[in-house]
Amino acid sequence: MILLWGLETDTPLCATRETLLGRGADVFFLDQSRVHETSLSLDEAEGEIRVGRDRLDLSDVTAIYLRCDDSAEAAPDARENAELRRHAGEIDAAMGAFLEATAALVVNPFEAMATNGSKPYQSALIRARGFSVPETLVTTDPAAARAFVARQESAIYKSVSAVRSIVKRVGATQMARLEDVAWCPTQFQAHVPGRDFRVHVIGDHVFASEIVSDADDYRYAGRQGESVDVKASTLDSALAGKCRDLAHGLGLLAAGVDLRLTPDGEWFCFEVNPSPAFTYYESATGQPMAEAMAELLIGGARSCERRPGT
Amino acid sequence: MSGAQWALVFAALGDAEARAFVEARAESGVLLATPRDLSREGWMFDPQAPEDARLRVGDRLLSPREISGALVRLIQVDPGELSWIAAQDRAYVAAEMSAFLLAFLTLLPAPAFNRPTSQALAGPFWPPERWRRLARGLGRPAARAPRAVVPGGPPPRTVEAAIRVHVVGPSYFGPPELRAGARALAQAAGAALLRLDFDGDGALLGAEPSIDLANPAVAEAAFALIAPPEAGRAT
Repeated sequence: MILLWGLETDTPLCATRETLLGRGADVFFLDQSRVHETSLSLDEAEGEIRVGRDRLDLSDVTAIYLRCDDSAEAAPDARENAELRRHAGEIDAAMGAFLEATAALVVNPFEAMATNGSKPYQSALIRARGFSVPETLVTTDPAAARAFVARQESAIYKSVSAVRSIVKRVGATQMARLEDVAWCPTQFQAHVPGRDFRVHVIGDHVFASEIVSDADDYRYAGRQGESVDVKASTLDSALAGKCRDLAHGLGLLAAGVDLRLTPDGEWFCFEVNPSPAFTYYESATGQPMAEAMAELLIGGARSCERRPGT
Repeated sequence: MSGAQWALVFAALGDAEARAFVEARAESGVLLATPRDLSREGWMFDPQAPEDARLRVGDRLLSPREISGALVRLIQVDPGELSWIAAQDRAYVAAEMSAFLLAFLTLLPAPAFNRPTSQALAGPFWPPERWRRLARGLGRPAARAPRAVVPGGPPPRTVEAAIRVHVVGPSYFGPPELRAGARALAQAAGAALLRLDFDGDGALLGAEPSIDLANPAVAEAAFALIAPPEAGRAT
């Protein structure tokens, strides 16, 4: 049984479910929007989940793909219902405990995904695996921020955490507000010119897409009045292997690696997204990413079937 | 560590145990670093050159070379503590501070106990089920403590510990028969500081990286890990 956890409106989860069902796999969808009718009993890695009339024996789970958020945010009416928020939090905690206890394949473990919660932390891990990373300063010192920006041809700023993570260029408006950095550590980076690539690692498969956009952060190009064009690309085998090793080295079986190729031919890595919305790129490029995800999950199921005691 | 004059305790503003620990050892060069310090001018950190970082703790600007060690009590920065930040920005600022400390304390070129994990600043902050799985994998006894979550049901029952032990670096505080198991778990988890709970039969219930600084023996052992070499000189 393959367990999918998240929202039934989530495109990557839905695409994966359709592909799994097409291959004849057994799938249980734990829909966070139904947390109000979800119960969970857990005894180490055993127990059951019930959602309405549907029941899943946790001992049958061989692989899990999660793209979940805080269940309390997903549940209808939870904002006004403290009891429901408490229940949603307990379901999340019990699911977290199950993921830690189970021998099933987990795509991806919370601990591995959490590396993306601190950009400079993940950047150090990326650099240790051989990629170039942008020159960076995190500071509460306006003078230091000013000096850093002055040393760069162009500089950007972005959040240190994964919250409100939008890349923006440091311009006159930001320079006039640099005193504000004294309130909170703020991250500045040298702007790296070049061509953007998103590389999806799914199991052993590597899919590269080139992103063509003039936006500072192509994910939010629309807000900046810019367009985005995504087209299929290929990487040489050494670089593809390096991306695969990077993702797997971070404990991620599926990941979106953000690269930029400079005019000098140097590859920079900005970050590794541990829960990529791969369907956006799949629909633009035709690359079979949902198939690769299904293959990964079914493969995990088979390896579990071979594992004694599971 | 040559030139290291200060030991730091990273803790929440409301952590009374940490505050008392620091106040009792202020003359020995122990300083309290709280999220309030992260809203003060002076921090500088380049993850590619952590040795050149600068810290602001109270009214002092410090370099990592001046730090003999750090005790980390925070799991993450609590938005509720950030009273000096506009209410609508507290969750964001707390996330930013937590993310900054994760990188800073991981790369700090001075001993830090515990080093963060990707999920918690104070080290391995895991569900009890993961600790028990680890114990079983090490051939140590672990309890079973089922949990049930039902809509409208009571909060999950917490199993009370019959025995609580501490691992603090090379020191151990607890019954001798649990020493080897506790040390093996701490080592496997990469935690120098660990508090472990057992049932009455000596089976593991769970563990946390936060130690009891109100216990004088535990506190002294923790201080020994981070103390400046010339602890006791005037500040």
